[in-house]
Amino acid sequence: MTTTTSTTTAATMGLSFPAATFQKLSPSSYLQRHLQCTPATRPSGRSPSTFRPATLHTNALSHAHGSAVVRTGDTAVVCGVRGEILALTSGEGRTRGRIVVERVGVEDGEDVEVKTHALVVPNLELGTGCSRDYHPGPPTDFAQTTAERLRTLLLDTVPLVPATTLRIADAVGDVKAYWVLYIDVVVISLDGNVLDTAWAAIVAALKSVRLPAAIWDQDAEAVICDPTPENFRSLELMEVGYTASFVVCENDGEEGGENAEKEWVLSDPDEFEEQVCCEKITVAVGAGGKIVRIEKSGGLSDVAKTLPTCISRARERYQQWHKIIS
Amino acid sequence: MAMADRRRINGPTGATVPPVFLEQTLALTAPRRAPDELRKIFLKTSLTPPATGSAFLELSAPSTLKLTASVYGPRPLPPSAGFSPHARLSAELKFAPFSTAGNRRGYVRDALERDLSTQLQVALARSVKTATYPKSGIDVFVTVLDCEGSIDDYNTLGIMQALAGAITCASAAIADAGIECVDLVSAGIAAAVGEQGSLVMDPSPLDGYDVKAAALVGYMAGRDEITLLWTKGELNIEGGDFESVVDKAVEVATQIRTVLNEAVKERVLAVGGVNS
Repeated sequence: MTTTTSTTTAATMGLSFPAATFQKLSPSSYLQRHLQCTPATRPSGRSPSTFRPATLHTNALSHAHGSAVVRTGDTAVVCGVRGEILALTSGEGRTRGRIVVERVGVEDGEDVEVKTHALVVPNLELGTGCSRDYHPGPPTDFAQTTAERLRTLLLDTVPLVPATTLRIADAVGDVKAYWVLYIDVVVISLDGNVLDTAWAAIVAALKSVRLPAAIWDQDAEAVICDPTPENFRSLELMEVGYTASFVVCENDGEEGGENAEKEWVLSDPDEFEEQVCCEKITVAVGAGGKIVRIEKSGGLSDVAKTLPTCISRARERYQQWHKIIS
Repeated sequence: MAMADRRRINGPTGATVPPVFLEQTLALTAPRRAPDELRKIFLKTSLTPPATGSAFLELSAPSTLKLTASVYGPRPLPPSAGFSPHARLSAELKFAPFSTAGNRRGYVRDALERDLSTQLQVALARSVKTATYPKSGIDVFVTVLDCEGSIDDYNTLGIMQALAGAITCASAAIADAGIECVDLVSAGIAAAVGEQGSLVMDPSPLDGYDVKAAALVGYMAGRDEITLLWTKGELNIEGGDFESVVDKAVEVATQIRTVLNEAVKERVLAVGGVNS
């Protein structure tokens, strides 16, 4: 073989067909041929390390307390946050005379309320005609797992909402009720990597929340809210974090010789890349570049090599999200 | 209260209630429009690239209606569907959980959504050349992101506005998908208000009219055909009240059609025109 570049080998073959047909017939080699070019380019024209630029629009919805529309490439989600009130049964939230057990090493022990009372309720809806594969009706396994991952992120990994900001107390300081935040993410358009986009939308929507001032009415034994918009308040949120997702595409072609890349780490994969590559990595970065969560599934790549790449790119992405959202 | 949906993340076991305010908040007072003045419509196609065709519709402030429509097809029907010499058009309309005032809407499709989905299907089906696509299905999905006012307390105008928006938006999405149509469908609403029953075009629930009767039409202006008619309230058929309200609604639909035409034309020019 005298040919050195991979693109010419395909052209000299007897059988030729348009790129779109090639993509359907052999998606894996279609992706690899793109990446074997110098410089490596993905079918979408991005380089392996490029994330899709994101746009944000907050408070576009009139009936939600906070909302955000985030679009990254062809993936677009709308997130609406609505606060509702959960009244406690009498005596449940008393602070006077209550024995408080403080465990050593457990910070913010009181924040368990968010979990025990399920005060933050994130959900993800994919059955909106956002993609060919999802139909209206009960959520698919993918929608359920993504919603669960978002919930874990929100409650454990990046505990954004402290219980203190959701409490509604009476004049003495006894907790009488809680705000419950229903966070609904509706995916309008799906082209891969819904987790990152949905998570960014949740963060942006929570930041835009304006809740009315809630007062415990002793006589009515109910929570009454003040309708004047000037008295609405934002949530006191904890440190934010953002996620970045990657797929690893293995090079199983012989082209390129010794110094060819063994695998490529693709940032912010689109739907096609997600379907072709089985190795998926998600890194969540907190404030100050702290790594708060790493998820990896499938594939046999050398973790010692791919993970540092992912981490440095995830930190880069954190800065990008941070600039857009705050 | 229905049993908790185990496939979703559910809230606290105790019931939660939307905030109760000290005094009723004043409804947004929309600047009074002239009775024959329509609201501005923003309609844009192809905002959901994975779909065959899609459109987004928004009414100008202070109206808050926002909805998206996406169309898939023509695609093969599943083997279980049996033979059909015509394309089958299905339509689904869903309200987002945060789309309405008052109570948050559930994820499971309710009776209202079923009813509106059927009406949407009826309004659109006549406009598509179904005979061109045998053994195929065309699926239309509409998601209402934000409504005008509440639609829980039988606020018919709010529901009508959502359906009218859905029809216009879905028709733009069908055209965007390149599906052969005989005409585009636009929807218009007119109402008889007050003691005298004076006619108002495109009434909004935020306008605060005392609505005696209202009519919604799905209208194909090119062929002068009504595909859907929905009236509410008492209308005297002999006296000509009925006809005058429906005629007004048709007039509204005809005006909205120009917006629909522009949106579709924009798309045709963007892809390089019909001839090139």
